[in-house]
Amino acid sequence: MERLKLILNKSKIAYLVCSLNGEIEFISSNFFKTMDWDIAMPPVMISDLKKHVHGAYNDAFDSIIEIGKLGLEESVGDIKYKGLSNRDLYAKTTCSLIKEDGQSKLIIWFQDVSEEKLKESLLKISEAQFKGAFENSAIGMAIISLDGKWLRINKRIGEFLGYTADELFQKTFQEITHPEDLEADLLQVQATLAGLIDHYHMEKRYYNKSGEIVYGLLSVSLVRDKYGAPNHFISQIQDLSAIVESERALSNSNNRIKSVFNTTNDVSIVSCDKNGIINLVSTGTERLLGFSSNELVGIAPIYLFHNEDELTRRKREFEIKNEKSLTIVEYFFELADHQDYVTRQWEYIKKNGESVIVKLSLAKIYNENGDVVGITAIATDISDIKRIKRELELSEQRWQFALEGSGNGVWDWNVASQKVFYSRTWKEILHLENESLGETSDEWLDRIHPNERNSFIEAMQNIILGRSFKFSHEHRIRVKSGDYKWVSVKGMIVERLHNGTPSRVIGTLTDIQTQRETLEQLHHMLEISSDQNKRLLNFAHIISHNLRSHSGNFELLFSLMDASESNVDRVEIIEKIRLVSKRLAETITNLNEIVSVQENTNVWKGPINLKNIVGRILRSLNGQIAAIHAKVLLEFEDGLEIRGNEPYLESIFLHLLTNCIKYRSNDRPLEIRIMARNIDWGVEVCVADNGSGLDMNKYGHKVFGLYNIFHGNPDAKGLGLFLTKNHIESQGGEISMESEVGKGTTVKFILP
Amino acid sequence: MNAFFKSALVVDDDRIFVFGISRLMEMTNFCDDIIVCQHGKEALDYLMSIADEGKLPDVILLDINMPVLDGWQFLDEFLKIRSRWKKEITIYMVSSSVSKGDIEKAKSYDVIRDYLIKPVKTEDLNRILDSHQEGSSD
Repeated sequence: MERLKLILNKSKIAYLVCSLNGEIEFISSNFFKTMDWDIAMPPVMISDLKKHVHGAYNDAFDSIIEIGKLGLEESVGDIKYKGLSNRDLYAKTTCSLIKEDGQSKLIIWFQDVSEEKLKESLLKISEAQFKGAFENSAIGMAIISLDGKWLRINKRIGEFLGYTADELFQKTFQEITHPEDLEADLLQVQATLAGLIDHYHMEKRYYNKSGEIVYGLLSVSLVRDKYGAPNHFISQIQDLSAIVESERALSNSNNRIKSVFNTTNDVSIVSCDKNGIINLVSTGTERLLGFSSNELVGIAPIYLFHNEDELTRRKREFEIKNEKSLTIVEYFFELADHQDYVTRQWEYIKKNGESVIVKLSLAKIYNENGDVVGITAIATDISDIKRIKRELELSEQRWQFALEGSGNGVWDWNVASQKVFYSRTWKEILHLENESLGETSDEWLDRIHPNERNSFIEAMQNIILGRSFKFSHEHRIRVKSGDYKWVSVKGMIVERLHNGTPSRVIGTLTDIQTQRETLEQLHHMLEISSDQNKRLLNFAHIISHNLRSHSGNFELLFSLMDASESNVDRVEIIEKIRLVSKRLAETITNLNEIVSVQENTNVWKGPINLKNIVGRILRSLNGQIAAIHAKVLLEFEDGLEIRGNEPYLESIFLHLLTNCIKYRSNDRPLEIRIMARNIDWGVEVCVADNGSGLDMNKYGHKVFGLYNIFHGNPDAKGLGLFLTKNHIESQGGEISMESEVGKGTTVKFILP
Repeated sequence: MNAFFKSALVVDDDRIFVFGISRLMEMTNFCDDIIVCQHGKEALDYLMSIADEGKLPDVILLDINMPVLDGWQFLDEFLKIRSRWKKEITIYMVSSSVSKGDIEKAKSYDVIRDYLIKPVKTEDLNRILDSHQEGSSD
């Protein structure tokens, strides 16, 4: 007995050992736990145990004990007990008769089967429910064998296919399936049987009893037995015939709309529900914004794509204007009613972060009762349009900037309105940048120098009248100070009306004052330098000529010397050689004098007293003048102010007066008049005589040339007037000569 | 021995040159008579004063740079009056000018036979004589 107890205690099963009269002699350690029994009150008699048996199971319990006592076989049954806290528990109760120590004992053991019992009862319930659901389902249901035989169908299947249950049980599903759908169905069946899928859906066509095609949405699940082996299929078939018909009618128009949506890359159509959550997305959205419908539908708010700052700002503006506070979604519903030009343009942010400018149309969605249930947002990509516009503006700005930057003024003349736009640089050229200038053409025309105004107006008229499409004009324009400056104007037609009439002319205004001045200076310099050049060439020519004539003479005389045979001859030749040598020395002295004058182009100048100089020269010539009984008259204006170089002036007067004496007429006594008077730009001095005169037609062009001698006068050197001219020009003056044969000569010079 | 030319006219204001050329003419037996004028005007006056055509010079040596009437001005005047005479008068320009302009200008006058650059040598005179010798032997 003790050994038995030991074994039973080690088992996981709950055991009781009792005598045949019901006294409990042993309780295994697991009993309390399995039977949910209070350990403090262990059962003493079998009858104690029975107190815990559910009323409905009393007979079953008694019979297990009684049959067990018979000792023929183990008696067993599931008994419902009440646990500690009145918890129901099922225990498989087994009773067996054993012999221990020569005495018969009953051994009873308990196994908790509560869970199994529960499942069993649930299954019974669900089976009942399934049956009800199966029969009364609104959709057709069928149980089909693995080889396709209809085992059970509900009423709806019968109605759908037009067969009675008995008729259908004679057929397989393959027989009534449209051949084009059969293969797809069978493939799915095989995949299900192979365990790749456990259920499938497909739309398929069946032939009903009268041979017509009916459409069904088929859902098939495989039912396996408790070992996992495929047992049968449960098919649900929904009648789609009506839907398919209307769908087919819709699909054509749908396809058309779809094709529109799908071909327009730059249109995004998104709808949202009342709460602003997106519930529909067009394919354009995906292409334009990069979001897929999976990422949006049911998750994202309608304003997901918007630039947050822009949205917040506009919402606030709206709130202030309408004096109410709104959520973003509320704002969108309001926008749908209040969209204006500005709120049609928005910045969207693509999924990749890029920005895109869209034109947004919002429309409310109503249900059949007329309630607002959402919004549709149609966004068109207008980035390109905006970009082109912006580039156009930029290029125009750049163009103006470039022109203005280069110092050219810009003007823009609207022919129809007669308004002229003057750019800042335009005004700057006239020093009018701080003045307010009207947009009229008079602002310009009134400032043009009268000499050039008419030709300018004419040029403008030629443009308007279509005689030319561009023009350029140079004129003087009065600037702020009242001075005139030269400007160059260029213009051309840039816009015309439909009938071809010019409507807009734009152009530039360029300050060419310094350019003009530079040009004038350049011309002046060119004159001076070409004059100098001529003189230099002449000078070089003369030197070469003079020196050559002397050297030629030397050569000639020496060759004669070689050939001479008498001493008398030689003495005569040597005398001639001496003469040539003397002339050469004179020539060189003269040249030195000329060079020194030519070198001093910028001679020192100071205040000069003309009378003193003339007086001095006359005194030095006094002897000659007296000898020929010449008469000298001085006519000097008062207040003569001359700045000049005194030695030069002395030289000038000496030459001129000496010429008067040299070339006097033999027919009449010499009379010299020296006059000086103030003129515009200096002092004019005249030295006039009544001498023999000179034929100016013959000699006019060379009177001031070097070594030009016109009279057969033995004293003439051809140097005087040349030097005089140089002296006067070196002081910035001018000299001229008038003469008539037999009457006299007048030399006139002006010193500034 | 008679000289080659009967008479020659030298128009030049340079007395040294006149002295030299006269000597050279004697040495080359250039002509019997040498007439000297100091400038173009004087030379013209001289030519106009000759009544007997036979006394006209055979050859004129003409300087360019002279007072009153220079060589060119003389030529212009001379061309106006030369038709008065049947006798052919050969003119030689004699100048120290090496200017291309002067030389080219001299070539443009048919009446000018040659342009001699000073100093004139006996060879120059001999060449003139030679050319006339050939001309007369034709």
